[in-house]
Amino acid sequence: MMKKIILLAVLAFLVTPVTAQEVFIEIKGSGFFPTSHLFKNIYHEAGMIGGELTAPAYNNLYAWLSVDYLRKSGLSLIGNSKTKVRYLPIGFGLKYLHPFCYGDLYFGLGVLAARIRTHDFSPNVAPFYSKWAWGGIIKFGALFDIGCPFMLDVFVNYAVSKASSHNTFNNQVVPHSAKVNGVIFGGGLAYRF
Amino acid sequence: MRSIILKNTIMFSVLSILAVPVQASCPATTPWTDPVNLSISGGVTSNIFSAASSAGFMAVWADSSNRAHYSFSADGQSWSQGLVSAAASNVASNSDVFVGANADGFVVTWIDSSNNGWSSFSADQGASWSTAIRINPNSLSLNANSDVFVNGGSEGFVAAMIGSDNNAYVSYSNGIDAWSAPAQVTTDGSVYDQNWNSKTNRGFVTVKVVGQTAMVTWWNNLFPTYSAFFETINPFSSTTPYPILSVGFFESVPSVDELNGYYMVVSRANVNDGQTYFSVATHVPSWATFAPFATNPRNPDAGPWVAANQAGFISAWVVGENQNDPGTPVWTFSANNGFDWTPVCSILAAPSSTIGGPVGLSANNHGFVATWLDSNDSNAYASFYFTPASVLPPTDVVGCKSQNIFLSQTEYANVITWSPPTSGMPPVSYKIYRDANLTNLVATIPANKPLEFVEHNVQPKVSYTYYLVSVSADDQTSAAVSVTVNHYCQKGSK
Repeated sequence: MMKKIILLAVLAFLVTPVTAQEVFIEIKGSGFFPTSHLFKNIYHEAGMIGGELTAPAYNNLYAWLSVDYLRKSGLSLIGNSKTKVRYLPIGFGLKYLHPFCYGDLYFGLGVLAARIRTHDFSPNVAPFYSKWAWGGIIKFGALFDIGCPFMLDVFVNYAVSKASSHNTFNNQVVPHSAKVNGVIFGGGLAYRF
Repeated sequence: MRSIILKNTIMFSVLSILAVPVQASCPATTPWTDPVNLSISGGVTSNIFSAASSAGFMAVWADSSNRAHYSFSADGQSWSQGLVSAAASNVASNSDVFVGANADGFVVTWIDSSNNGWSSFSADQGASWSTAIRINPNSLSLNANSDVFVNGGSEGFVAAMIGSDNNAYVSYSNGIDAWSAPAQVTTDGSVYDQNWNSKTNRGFVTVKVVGQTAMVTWWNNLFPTYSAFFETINPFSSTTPYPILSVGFFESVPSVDELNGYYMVVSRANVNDGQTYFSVATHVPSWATFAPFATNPRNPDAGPWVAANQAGFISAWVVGENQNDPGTPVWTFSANNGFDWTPVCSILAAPSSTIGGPVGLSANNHGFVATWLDSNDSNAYASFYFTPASVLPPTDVVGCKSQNIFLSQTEYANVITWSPPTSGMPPVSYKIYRDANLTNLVATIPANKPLEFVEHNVQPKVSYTYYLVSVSADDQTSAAVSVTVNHYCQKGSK
C-alpha cells in the first residue's frame, strides 16, 4: 500500500509539465523541534537532513517531493530506559511561489508517509517497533537568489504524523500510537535547472 | 458501632469455645527465672506493681514506715533498690504505690493519709526523683480507700483516681509538669472502692495509654467491670462508659493492656468459684463476652494482672492452697490475642503457699516481669520471663504503580518499598507473597540490598495486594504485613 502511494506521488510529479529552468533540486538541513508530548520528552530536539525536488505545475503553483531522515537516542519516561528512534518522512504536495525582489516566497501543503522505527532497551517491553505513519505538512519559506543557478532556501515547516501500535508483547505492555509532530526550522541549497 | 459489637460477639463466641479446651501440659521446667528478693529487709505492706520501658523494669511498693520503694532492673534479673525520695514517709498506710513508664522515664504515684494523690518522676531509672507533684486539685478529694493508678505512653502519663463521690477521674501529665485538671469519667458514683482478696483491698481505676489514646477500666459497685475510651488524652476527649460484658459479677479490679490494637482485660469472677476471666476488644470499647482462662483448680486467690509485648499477652495470678492447689503464682500466655492460651502453669519451680495479693506484671521487648509479695518474709519478689526478640514485620510499607513509557508502548510495574522493623531481631531477608496464606512467594529480597521490590508487566487498572514478612537469621518469620497497590507513584500519572 505504502509503496503504491509513493509510486503514485513520484508519477504525479513526473507527469507535471515542467520547463528545464524551473526545476529545483535541493539538499537541506534542519532542526526538528517536537511538539508531541512523548517524542518531545523522550527524544527532545533532533537534527534532520534531507532532499527535495520541486517542479512547476501550473503558473506559480509547484509540485514538490521530499525525503528526510532523523535519528536520535533518548530515555523512556519515568523508567529511564534507553531508546532509539529513526524517522524517515517522505512527503509530497504543492507549493505556491510568489516572487519578490530577492527571489521567491512560498507556502506549501503536503502529505507525509513516514517510517518510524524504535529500539527500546528494556527486557520488559517489545524491543523493536517499525511502522508507517501518516500525516501532513505545512511549509513556509523563502528562496533567495544567490547567483544563478543557485538559490538559498530558508524555511519553517510544521509536520504531523501518527502510527498505530497493537503489539501487547504477550499482554505485558499497553501499546499506544506513536506520534511525531513538530516544527522544523532549516535551510537548503537549491540548484535551479 | 452495632456492626463492631456484632463482630466482637461472633469473634468471642468462637473464642470462648476455642480458648477453654486447651489441654497441653506445663513445661517440665518453668521458663521463669528464680525469684529475686527486691526488698531484702522485709517490711513490705503493699502489693508489688511494676512498669517497663525499653530501658528496663521498675517495681514499686510501700513499707510499714509509709515510704515508697522502687527497684530497677535493665534485664529483668539484676535489680537495684532505692527509695522514692519525694514520697518521704507520706504514703498512706496499707495503700498501694503504682508506677508508669515511657521513653522519658518512670512516674510513681501514691496517695497520702489526707487522701491526696502525688507523683514523682525519674528520668534516670530511679537514681534521682523529682519533687512530689500533687495530682488531684483541692476541688477533688479522693476516696479514702482508693489508690492512684498511673500508666505511661509515648504521649505522656495518665493518672486514674476514684473521687470521694465514687466517680472515676483521669488526669494528664508529661511526668514533669503539673497534672491537668481531672476529667470525670463516670457521673453515677458507681466505681467500687475495693479490690477483694488483694493485700490492701483498696480500690483503683486502671488505665492503658497508647499514643494519644487511653483505655480506662474499673470495677463497678454492682460488680460488673466497665471501660471508657479516650480518643485523646491531652486534652481528654469526651467519653461514654461502656460495660465489659459480664458472665456474673466480678471480684477484682480489672487489669488492661494492649497489643497491636487489641485491648485485653482480665478480672476474677465469682462464677465457678472465682475463675479468672478475660475479654478482648479492639480500640473501640465494645468488649466481647468474658471467657474463662481455664477450669479448676487453677483459679485465683486474687485479681489477675495482664501485660503484653511483641510476643503476646501474659496473664498471671496467685492460686491459693484452699483450692487444693499447691499455691503459687501462675501464668498463661496467648500469642494470638486470646484465641488460644497456654496451660496455666506455675511461675515458681517450688510452689509457695505464702504468696498473696495480685501478681504485678510488666513487659518490654526483652520479656515479662512478674512481681509479688511473699507474706512469709514480707518481701517483694520478681521473676523474669525471657521472650526471644522475635523478628518483627517490616515497617513503612508503601506500594504504588510505576510506568516505563516509550514512544509506542508503556510498561506498568508495581513498586513496593519498606523499612526494617525498629526492634526485635534484625531480618536477614524479606519475603513477598501474593496471598494471605503465604503460599505464593513472589520474591525474596536480602536485607542488605535496597528494600524495594518491583513487579514488572502488571495490568494498569488492576489492584494488587502483596504480603511481606521479615525473615531472621534462624529462619523465623514475622507476622505478615499487607500492602495494596492501586495508585500511581508519580503525581499526574495515569
